Amino acid sequence: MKDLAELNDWMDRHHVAVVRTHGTNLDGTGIGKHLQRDKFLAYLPKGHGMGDMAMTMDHSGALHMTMWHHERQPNLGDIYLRPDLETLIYDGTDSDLGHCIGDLTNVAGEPLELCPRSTLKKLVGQMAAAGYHASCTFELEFYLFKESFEDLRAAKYQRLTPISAIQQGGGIYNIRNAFQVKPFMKELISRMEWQGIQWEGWNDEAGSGQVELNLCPLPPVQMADTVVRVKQMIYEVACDLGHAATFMANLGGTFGSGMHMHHSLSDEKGDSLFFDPDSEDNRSELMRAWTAGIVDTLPGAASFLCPTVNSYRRFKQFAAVPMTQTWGEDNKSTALRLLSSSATASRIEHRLAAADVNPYLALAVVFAGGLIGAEQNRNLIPEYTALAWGMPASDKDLPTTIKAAAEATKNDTLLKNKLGESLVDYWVKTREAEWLAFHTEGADAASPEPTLWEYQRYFEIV
Amino acid sequence: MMKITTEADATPLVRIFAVKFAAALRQPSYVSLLKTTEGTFSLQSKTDPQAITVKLNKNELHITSGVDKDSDVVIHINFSKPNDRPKIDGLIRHPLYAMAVGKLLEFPETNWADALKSLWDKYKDYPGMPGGITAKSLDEDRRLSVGSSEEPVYLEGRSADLAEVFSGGSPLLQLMYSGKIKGLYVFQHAVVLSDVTLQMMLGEA
Repeated sequence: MKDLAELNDWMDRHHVAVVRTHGTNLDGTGIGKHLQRDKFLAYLPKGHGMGDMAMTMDHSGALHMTMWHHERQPNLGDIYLRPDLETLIYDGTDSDLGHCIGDLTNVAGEPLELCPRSTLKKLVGQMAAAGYHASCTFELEFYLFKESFEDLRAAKYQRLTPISAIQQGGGIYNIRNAFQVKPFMKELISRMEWQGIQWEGWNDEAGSGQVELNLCPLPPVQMADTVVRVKQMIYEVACDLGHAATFMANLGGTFGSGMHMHHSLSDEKGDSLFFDPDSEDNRSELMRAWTAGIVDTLPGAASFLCPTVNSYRRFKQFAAVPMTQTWGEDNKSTALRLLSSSATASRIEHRLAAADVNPYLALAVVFAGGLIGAEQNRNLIPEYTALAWGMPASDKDLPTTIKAAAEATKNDTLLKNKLGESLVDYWVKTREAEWLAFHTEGADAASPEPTLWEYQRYFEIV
Repeated sequence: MMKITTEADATPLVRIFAVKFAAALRQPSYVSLLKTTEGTFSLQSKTDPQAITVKLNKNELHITSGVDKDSDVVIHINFSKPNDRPKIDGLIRHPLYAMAVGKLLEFPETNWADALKSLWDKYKDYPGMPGGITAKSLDEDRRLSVGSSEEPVYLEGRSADLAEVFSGGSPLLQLMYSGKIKGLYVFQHAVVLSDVTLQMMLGEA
């Protein structure tokens, strides 16, 4: 859809009277406006203005007060949300609503360095220039509860009843657990299909009330767009059905929620750049160097992949979370699981990201690592061929606190150069502020279980 | 030479007190007081779970988070309102030690003008800083300017509050929110000064 007449025609045919714009700030929070259709069209192509505080707020809505970025307006002025018309769809459930995802820009319409979607686009552009075209997908893990969000808020999250046949522990791929969540998932899938979102499958996951949803592979920006849309949709279905759903990384049980990311690279013709049938292990030299870059930058990438205080509660041995800077062929205990059996299956599964991640930044930091590896033709460390849990402490251990992860990011000059120094410096400050808020705003930092502070800050927002 | 150490991955409160003790140790009288006060004491917030334990021996002051079970004295205080009356556990068993600890917690006062000069010397080239700062103490009716008059920030308040912010006791905007400090400034400069004062507070500068 390019010209105004075409847009008007599309909106007429789909009865769209209102358009919800959707940008994403650093924390991954959706930000935008509901615009009357004519106003939405009148604002094109630049989009609408919004206070720059929208991109400089933390999860609680508090303005970033102890960090400055040159793109912030000196006295709280405006930024813009420029719609990407390729993403314009109709809601399907809300009969007169259209949705459009966009990029954050300055007043002149230039993409902001602090815009996660633009950052991912920048990395994808660098990959395209090198002849690499990525296809990727995410596994979305989340928990479902019988209570409504309102009930849980009122009870200070003390009463959480998983939608599950097994109330203690969990099980995995359990058909009875799946039957319990089926009404929710049917509604969700129906809405996804209305919006043209393609999915592969879903299943009961390891925690009680935990579900995993697998989406069909897409190019990176479209994939991240789909993730933010589906996460919003899961929230809306939960609200409409009187339940609660959360992407909080850990709720205190053994199994937290992650967001495993799969990606592969192909050339312009669509042939795999990861698969080499002539090599001993089916892996191309590019796949080895690309993987090496991602492995080498894992500590620096951790703060992007595990962005909240709660993300680090997921770090438990034997809980399906990688604890070390390792990789292995079809090894689910290492940070990177490589699959190299055929040209179509060849891919990297990155297993570190928590469910509370910002998908744009997560893909960007992984691709930054890959590009570093490819550009420097890095040597891949030896494959880890044993179980990577319960190992003695070593310098290959990944950061397990938000503060340590922020420090690792701060010290990673390669990632800084690739992602943009001002973005990384600002990001590090936001993670330090998250750490400071956790310790000084009433949370019991010594608590082995998630605190009320974490529930109130993350449960409904991430 | 008194050495200050903290646990690894120190909490903000541990860092804040490490900075406070380090600043106080610049006063010889405070060093003498510390050297004669051996033992372990804890500070527990009255309003939230924050707590620290300070272990003192002749040459080392070690700070950790939480209340150590071996603490001789546990002082329950409101960290946001240090002038509120504290509640002390261990006062009857260790009265002299409790009194000595009480004295230790009366950190030497900072002169706001000296603190402002020191802040400016250290941070004037920090990205985003204003061209200069003019501060006015309302109780002393005294004004001090540092830097140039181009893009200056003007701040006014009581001497104690100015000293608190310029010495890194609290981030600037926190005191501006509470109305203790007022000023004429662009938002950017207030944020950058808050960044700087927060770094000083946590000893990260």
